[in-house]
Amino acid sequence: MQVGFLNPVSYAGAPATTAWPVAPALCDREAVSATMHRAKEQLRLADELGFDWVSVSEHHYSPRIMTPSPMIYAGAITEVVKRAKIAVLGPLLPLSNPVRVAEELAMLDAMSDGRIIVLFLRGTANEILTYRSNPDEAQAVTQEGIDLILHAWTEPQPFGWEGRYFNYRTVSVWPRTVQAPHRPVFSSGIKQRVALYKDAAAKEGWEPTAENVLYRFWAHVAESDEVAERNTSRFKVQMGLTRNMSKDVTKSLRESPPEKLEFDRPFLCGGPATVIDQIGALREAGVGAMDIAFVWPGLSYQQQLESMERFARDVLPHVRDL
Amino acid sequence: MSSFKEGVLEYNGLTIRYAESGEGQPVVVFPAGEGALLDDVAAALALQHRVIVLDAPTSGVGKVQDFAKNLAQAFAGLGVVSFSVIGVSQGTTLALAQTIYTPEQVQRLVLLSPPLALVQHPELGARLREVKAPTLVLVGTRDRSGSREAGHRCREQIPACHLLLVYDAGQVIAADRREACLSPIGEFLEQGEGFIVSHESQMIRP
Repeated sequence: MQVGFLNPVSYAGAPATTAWPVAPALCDREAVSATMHRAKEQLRLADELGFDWVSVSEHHYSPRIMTPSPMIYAGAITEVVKRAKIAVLGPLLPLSNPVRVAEELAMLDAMSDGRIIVLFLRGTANEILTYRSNPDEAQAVTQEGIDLILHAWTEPQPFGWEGRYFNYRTVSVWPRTVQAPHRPVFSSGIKQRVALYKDAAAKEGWEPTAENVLYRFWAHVAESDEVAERNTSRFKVQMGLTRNMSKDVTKSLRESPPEKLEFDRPFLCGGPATVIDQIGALREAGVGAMDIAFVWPGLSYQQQLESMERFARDVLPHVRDL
Repeated sequence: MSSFKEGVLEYNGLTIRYAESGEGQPVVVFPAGEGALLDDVAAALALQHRVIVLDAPTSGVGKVQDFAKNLAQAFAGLGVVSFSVIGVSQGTTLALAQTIYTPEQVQRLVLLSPPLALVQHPELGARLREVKAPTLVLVGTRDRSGSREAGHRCREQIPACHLLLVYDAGQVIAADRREACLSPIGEFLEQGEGFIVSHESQMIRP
């Protein structure tokens, strides 16, 4: 089982509104600095504790995860994290110039001596509003963007691209990726898309293994199940940042409702023995890679660090060989 | 859509049927296979160019060098002394030969889905560096026939060559994504290598 640490870069100030976007006036400048210092401290810790990678994602206009530019952040990580891989999970392609994304990730791969892992994403419904992308085309744009980036990393000669959504006449990415032919690339999907992925792989003559299936979630590990329950039961997490938007907006976004809107507790939650069992069940379901955020509303920063350390000490050694 | 009129070119033992339509700078099309006298792309190009689509030669092909020189003479009989060349799949061999052996006549070369055999051709494969005309090679991203490798070789060896990947197109590239082929080919025929520069306004509102 591969285990990654999702660096949340969550706002260190007082909890802000759950609306989206969040007004910049609510952002305390000193808390921003504290956030970045904490995030860097967690990165160093994850590297020391033996996580296989540290990951960063892209979100906008919100205190939840303050990395609107995952590339800048990953660049900083290359200087902080010396051993673990660096997972950029991941750039939102409908908001991006894919050639630029290919160039920046190639730079990161070089800067990290080939430690970059990538996941390309379409973005949640609210992210589409960030730069006024078209939600109706987001999936097709993402798919074409992925294809373009893979070509940008592998074509040996300069080329042009005549796409449906992207058009370039000169693409020739330097530096090349250190990893050949390119770094590992994940894609996102719900159950139906995972089935499509397996079908497509079969047509190409190969079968995905568990290491090809990555699951990202929250976790809290305490000394016992009772303490973990007590630490996390005061708050729930509501998914979907568009839920407070005008109906005119949500109707226009044509957002598919998530399978689950509200979570009572972290996906992994309990004492070490319970969490080991939970991971065993996950492995039996075909998951061979996890990306874990040790955050939950109401947990202090110190509790997050303790949960992370306990996971590394009391859980990680027992799930490595699953 | 322009209508094509058919004719026969004859010179020095060479006999080849052709179809012609449109006005403007001449463009000679070497189609993919026998009997493929016309295709949709040629018809669309004929709105802006004098398009001459060749059929498979019925006699007098011989060596490709002789074929190219005889064909250029035959074109002169039509008043066509300077032209661009488009080769489609198997037709890219004669298109490339025309460009190499009559460099004064060929202004631009366009190759769609060139087969690997083109760059492995015993005579032409070693002479790619001699191509004088600006060249555009189009290859579909779903084409697994070897066109991509051929495109790489062309891009590497032809001095002024541009390789264009057409997203989500297979080997029959113009059928899969007609507009995605027509637009760059039209711009390339008009502007040559200048087609890589965009003059499309990025202004949203004045």
